[in-house]
Amino acid sequence: MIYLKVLTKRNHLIISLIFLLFSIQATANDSSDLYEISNELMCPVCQGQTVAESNSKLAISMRDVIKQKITEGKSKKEILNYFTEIYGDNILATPPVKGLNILLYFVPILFLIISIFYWLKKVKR
Amino acid sequence: MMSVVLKKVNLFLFVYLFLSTFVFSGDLNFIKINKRVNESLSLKSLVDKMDSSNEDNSLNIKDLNGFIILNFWASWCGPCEDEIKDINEFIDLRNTLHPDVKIYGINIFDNKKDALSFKRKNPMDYPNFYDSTNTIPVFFGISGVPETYFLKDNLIIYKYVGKINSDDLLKGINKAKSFNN
Repeated sequence: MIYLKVLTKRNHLIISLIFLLFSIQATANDSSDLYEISNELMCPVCQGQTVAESNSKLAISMRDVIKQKITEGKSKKEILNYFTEIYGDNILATPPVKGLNILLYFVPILFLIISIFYWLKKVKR
Repeated sequence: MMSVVLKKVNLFLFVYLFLSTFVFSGDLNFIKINKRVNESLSLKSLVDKMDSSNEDNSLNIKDLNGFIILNFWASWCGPCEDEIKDINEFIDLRNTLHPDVKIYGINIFDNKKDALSFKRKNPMDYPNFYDSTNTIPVFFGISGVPETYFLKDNLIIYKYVGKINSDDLLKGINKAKSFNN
């Protein structure tokens, strides 16, 4: 009887530990998701800070929305879409390669190529 | 020849900018939104335990029909304090000119204790609610306070950025009423 009691107590302990480990794992996943998503969004009222970095009232509110959406089971893509629908593509830390944004990606390369050609021409002279 | 053209361009730009400050300045604070409230946005009534007013305990913006004005404010915001007198004045005008329009104050970016003491110090003649979830500003795309939104049957039509007065509140209602989706 005493042996059974000890076993039951031990089982309780093991089950509790398993639950604890799962909850810690879930919390860690949620907070890493929160950081990852908020780091891909720019704070609309700050200068050059992402939502993860900023402590402005709006950035805190945006983090709360991300937390809520993660709890609702929304994917990263769905959450980012939610924010771009409200604030536009400018809210993304990495702007998509479309429209005028293409210039952001190709103009520096173009300038680099032109500079190399100019430099080579100068050296040959 | 070139300098004459440049002088004319400069003169044109100067006149255009000078006139535009007068012509467009009144409407610069109004921004067209055209977005439907399609998700549940629940707010709690900002009332003291001692408060005997019979305000509702909660409000869901999604359930609001007709012409609605939502004024977003915070206790730490100076212009929010300044505009209360104008909004109270507007309430009197509203009763005679636009009795169908409802106005609500919504406290955001704040805590309930500070909001309540602000409300006690600055009496508001319209129901006030607070955002306990801290998620409402994102849905509206609010960047700061004060901001005032004009809605018609769940559709956010215009927002007014900055301190508002009774003339602009009336202007906002007329804009919302003449808006065709």
